[in-house]
Amino acid sequence: MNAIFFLTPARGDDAATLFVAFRARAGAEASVTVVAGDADRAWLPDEFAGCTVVPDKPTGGKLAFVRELRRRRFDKALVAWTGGDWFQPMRLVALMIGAQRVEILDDRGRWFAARWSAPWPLLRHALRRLPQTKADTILRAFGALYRWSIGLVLALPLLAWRCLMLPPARPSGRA
Amino acid sequence: MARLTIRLLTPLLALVMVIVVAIASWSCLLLILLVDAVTAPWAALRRRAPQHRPRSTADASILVVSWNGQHFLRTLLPSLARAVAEHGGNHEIIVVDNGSTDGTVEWLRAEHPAVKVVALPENRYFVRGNLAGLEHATRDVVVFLNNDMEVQPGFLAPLLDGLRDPRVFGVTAEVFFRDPQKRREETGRTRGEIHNGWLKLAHVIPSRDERELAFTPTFWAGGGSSAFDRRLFLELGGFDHLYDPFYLEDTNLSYQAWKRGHDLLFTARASVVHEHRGTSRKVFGDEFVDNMIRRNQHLFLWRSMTDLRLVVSILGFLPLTSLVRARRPGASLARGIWFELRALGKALPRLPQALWKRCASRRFYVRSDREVSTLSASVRRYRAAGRAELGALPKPASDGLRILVMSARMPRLDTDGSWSVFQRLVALAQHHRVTLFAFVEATQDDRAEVALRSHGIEVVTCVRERNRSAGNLHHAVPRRLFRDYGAAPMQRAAQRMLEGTDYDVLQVEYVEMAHLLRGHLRGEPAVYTCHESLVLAALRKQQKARGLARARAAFAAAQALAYEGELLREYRAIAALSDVDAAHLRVSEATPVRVVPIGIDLAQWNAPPNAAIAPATVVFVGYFQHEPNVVAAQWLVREVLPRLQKSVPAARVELIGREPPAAIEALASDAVAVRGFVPDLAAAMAAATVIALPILTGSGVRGKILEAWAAKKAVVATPVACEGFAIEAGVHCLVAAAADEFAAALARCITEQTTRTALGAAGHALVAERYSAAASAARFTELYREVVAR
Repeated sequence: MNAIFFLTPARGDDAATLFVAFRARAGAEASVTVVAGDADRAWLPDEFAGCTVVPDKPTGGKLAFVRELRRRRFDKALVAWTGGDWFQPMRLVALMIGAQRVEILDDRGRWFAARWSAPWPLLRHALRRLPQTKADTILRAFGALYRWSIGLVLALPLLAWRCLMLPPARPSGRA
Repeated sequence: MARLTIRLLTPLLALVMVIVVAIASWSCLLLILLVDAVTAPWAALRRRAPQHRPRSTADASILVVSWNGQHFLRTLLPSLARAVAEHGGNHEIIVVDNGSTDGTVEWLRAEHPAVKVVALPENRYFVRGNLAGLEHATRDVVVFLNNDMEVQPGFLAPLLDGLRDPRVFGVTAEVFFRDPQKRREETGRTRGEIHNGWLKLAHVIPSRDERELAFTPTFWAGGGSSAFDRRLFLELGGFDHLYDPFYLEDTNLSYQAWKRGHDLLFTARASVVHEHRGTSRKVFGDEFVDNMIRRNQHLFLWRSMTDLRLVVSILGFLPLTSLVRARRPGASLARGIWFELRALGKALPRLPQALWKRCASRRFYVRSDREVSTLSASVRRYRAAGRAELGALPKPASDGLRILVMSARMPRLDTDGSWSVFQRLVALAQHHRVTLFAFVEATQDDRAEVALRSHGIEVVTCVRERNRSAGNLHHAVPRRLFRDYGAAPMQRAAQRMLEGTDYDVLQVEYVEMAHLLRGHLRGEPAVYTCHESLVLAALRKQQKARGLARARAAFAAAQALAYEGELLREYRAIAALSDVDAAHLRVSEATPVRVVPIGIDLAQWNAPPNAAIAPATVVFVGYFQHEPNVVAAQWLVREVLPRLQKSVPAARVELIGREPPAAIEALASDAVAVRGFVPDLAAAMAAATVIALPILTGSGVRGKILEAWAAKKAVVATPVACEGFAIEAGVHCLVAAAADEFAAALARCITEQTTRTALGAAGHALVAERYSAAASAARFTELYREVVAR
């Protein structure tokens, strides 16, 4: 089995515990790819022995990062949605890489399978977590939605106006 | 079940709160606008200039209000007696007893017969207690002290010295807590600003300059550790009953003084030790005291803030800002909402009184709210306004300048191109007083700070953090700047550094720091060092992109053009490191743009003598978190190396630099070594056959070319890599743009030892002649003097 673990953003001991839980879930014989932060790569070299480790800072753009993971055609993706100080977009990537089965560990320590074609477990989880979600997180989500829709449309004329207001370039570059 | 109910009810409660606060605050706004419309013209006609009368500062009346605080007085009074004896004036000490039941009055009469005791029959709290004591004060200066203070030796003289200037209304002392482990949330140095639609009042830790100066402006002088002009105190209305029973009455008094043209100063030369809220929080509880503070903040805004835009923005957005403030640490939102509603509810009955006082005092105002906020916060702006003398800082040697350098990252010798800033600062510090403020990573070691301090540079650091707030909704700011250099604590730290430093010239390093300081530099003698033109870098990225990425890059280029242009407006001069960058900066004709090359200190470059050179080894050095270095390394390995190996089959490439990402590690092969960080770069360069600089994108200058020349190495570079240096192609280095030409140039250097030696020697001579750190520092100094003189 070809499995991928999204360890980010766990740190230190949490990451080690999570890795053990993932490993047990995937099975000892699974070929494992781990998405981990720089600190975990340094902290957990023994645990990661024999795994393919992917840094959680995409180089070459986020789209290319997801595309590269999709290309590897994973059988199983494991990710922890156990809460944290802020929203982690990397946790959503597990749902986008086209793995045959995506299993999520929730904040109560329970596993559930997620599929876009049957989104009920995801919705149930979202509804259950909504009251605990920080106002900042909700604001940021709305902010992001606005920024990449209406905000982007408005940005184009605003940007043009701001550029027109600039002083002309000085070819010599010197005063 | 109960928790679920509260969770479900909270949004409803929040909605109710928004509606209630909206009705209340917008009604207040309407009333205030009406009152102002009537009184403003009248006040303008009857405007009265401030009267600065001389006063006697030889002695003072020292006033202490106490309620069941005999145990505090047992500490305070002996320390006060010592301070009085030390100063030698004919001072009087007055203790107002607020109807204590612990025998304070009897104890005072028995143990301290010299102390005047004003025994009140009941507790009149802080404001009325002080006013009762003031009736018995006879000196021109009155010093107010909390009963839970202990004054330190030399307490009186600085307070009285500050009051010698008739423009000064009050002087406050530095406050320390009895428990040194406690966070210093009260220091005496205060600042106030309108932030996110609300008046933010705070004590700040005095900076080095504020400690060294005799006096510093301060937003308010605390009613428990300050000296005031008694006559003016009474004219201003003293501690206002509007704020009964306590808190913010001293802030209001100070604010009234500022608005009427009088000044408030802080001095670190007088200090007190405070038990901190020894009485009021014990008696009334934290919740009540906090609620009083919130209520009084409303009253303060209604009574004293008169700038139309501020009033409209504060009261207009109050429903939303109240909701934000309702999120109090350690309390549920429902509780926070109730807290806010109670505070507003308690303030509303006092609205008529606040408005009446607002009208009565308006004709005395000679300063706007913004002026008060600026003058009271910034040492430099206060001094520039020609107000009271603040004292002098130690003079830098030989007509040197006081330079505040604000850098987006800590200059280091071993990580990236910031070594050029490090060496420039060291060179500047030989003639000037240099203070560096820089952001550091949480995991970063302090070697660079220690090294800079050893050269006499004061270093202040702040940990960089990611901005997690929603914002930048219309893409006004390039995303990387907003995300990595937009966090509110970083902005506050940078702003505070600006305010607390008394500098002749401000040097801003990197566009990220310019972004953080945006809006704070108008009128400041600020110089911006353009390490990399945002526009040029974005345009080059766009040229390399294809398809959708090209459209995105075009948008980013337009965004960079607009934003960089807006940033640069605030600077008096710009130092570009290369003429190519300078040509891309869109600034007005009034702002000089000077090309100031970077320099290297050859004495610091300790290359091992007669080091063995590895055969046919091409070395590229770069910090690999900088994208242009990644692109360059990929081009070198994928495009150039195969062509080079056709003529030199043994040729190999070494990639040296911190934090290589996966894209760089993936380049490793038999012919390519990814060495990552190398502790001894001089030795690694000395072992190279030739140094390659295959830079294709980005902008700014590449310090690595200077490092290569310092090591007397032959260099093969692209035209982009050579920007900013007066290079004669073929003499100082070989220049090639296409992969074929680049490979041929590398092959020539590998196979012809005479070429290698000649190139290395010519490059080294060029560095010695034109690109030394001292020369760079001298050019910057010229620019600083030009800016200071303007």
